[in-house]
Amino acid sequence: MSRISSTSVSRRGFTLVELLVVIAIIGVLIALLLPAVQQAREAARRAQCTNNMKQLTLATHMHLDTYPDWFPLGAMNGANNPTKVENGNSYSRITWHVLLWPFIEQTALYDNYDLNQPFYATPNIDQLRVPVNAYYCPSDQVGAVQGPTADPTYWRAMGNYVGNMGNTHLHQNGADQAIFNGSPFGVRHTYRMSQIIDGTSNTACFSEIIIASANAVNDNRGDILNDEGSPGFMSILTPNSSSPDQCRQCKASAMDVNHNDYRSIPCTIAADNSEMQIAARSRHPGGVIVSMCDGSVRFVGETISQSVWQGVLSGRGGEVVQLP
Amino acid sequence: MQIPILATTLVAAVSLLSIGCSSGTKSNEVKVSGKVTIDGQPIEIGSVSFVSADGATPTGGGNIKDGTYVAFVAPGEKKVLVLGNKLVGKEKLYDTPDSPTRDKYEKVTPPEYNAFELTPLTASISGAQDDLDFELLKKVKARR
Repeated sequence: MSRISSTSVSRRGFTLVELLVVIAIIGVLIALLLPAVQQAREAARRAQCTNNMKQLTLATHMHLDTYPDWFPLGAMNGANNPTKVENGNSYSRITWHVLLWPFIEQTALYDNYDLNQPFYATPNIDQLRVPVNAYYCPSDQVGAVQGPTADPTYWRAMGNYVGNMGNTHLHQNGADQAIFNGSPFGVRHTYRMSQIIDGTSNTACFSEIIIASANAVNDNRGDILNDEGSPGFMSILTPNSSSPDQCRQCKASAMDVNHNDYRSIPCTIAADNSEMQIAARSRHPGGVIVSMCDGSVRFVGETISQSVWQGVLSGRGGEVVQLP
Repeated sequence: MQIPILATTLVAAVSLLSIGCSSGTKSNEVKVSGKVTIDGQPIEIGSVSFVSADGATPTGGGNIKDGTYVAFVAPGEKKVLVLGNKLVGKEKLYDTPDSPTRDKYEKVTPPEYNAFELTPLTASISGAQDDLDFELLKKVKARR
């Protein structure tokens, strides 16, 4: 007992000042780290979104191997179905997502789909109700569907990924034909890889849009399985443009200049499909993810200039552009 | 007592710095508004897009409602695309008897006004403006 008390003469603790300094340093470190932690979540979602787009582009490459040199049909619209297109096959109303099913391991869905029937007919519509993971960007609404409440007969899954349909409108009107500069995907037309003469690493393949209206049938953006919904994106509007998308149907809040939706997904009515145009849009801060035809995936800032964006989307424009 | 003061100053300085790091606005877009008519009639519903004539800036624009529009545009020389419609009734979504319907619109502007290469409308944006009006004609003379 007495020995212990006699040896503990110089027991030294921390002074208040030292403690305060340590706490201050830890505080500073946390202050530096906290914003990084918050960003890490979005960075992870972005990485997953990038991966989905990469897989879709690789699936397209497998399609290019299976049907030598042909990209999948972008979409088939309603007139005179089924219609034969350049690659020799006939299609009814459909979009490219269905044609990529065998290559993203959704063979079961593809086997139960009848290519001679439009997408809204039985048994096709049942296959379109499966919310395949590869449809969705995790930064937006994963698993979004139109839902049986909105439309008991024809509801289907929605999605974020859209194909590059070039520098004009969804369907080209007469005024567009003269200036169309080629793209991997088209409505009523299929294109060959060899027609991408700007080079596959310089031409966009897929990008993303925001699902405008889940559990409803009042807006085209996100209705990726409908040829008249949003199978593609075009270059007239730059990514996340303040200029509205031109759709057959817009939800009211996306047309209301005072509503929050108008700032992220502005929309106006296009009375026919030859005036429809849809910009690439995303919930990622500052821009959108774009995959190129060679399989690389890039993040493109929303401040990209009109000429570069148009050059990247065109397949045979001959523009000397490089994504920043 | 000198070190705690030093420490608090440091903490204050760092937190001030991190406030300065928060993200700013998207771009240098300015607010432009005005009236849009076709043959003197106001356009019911549609949009105005300002596409950079030299391709140097992103595309900006806004909606037309009852003849007036509000747009956000980066300054510069612009070609102006206009799309105008009017409500005419209802139409079916699918080619089936029990198909749901949607509002049917009819286009009132010629397609030339909505094509970058053909539109005769131009604008030079240098700052915010509230009287940038566009008068369209049904018989458009396309620029070529």
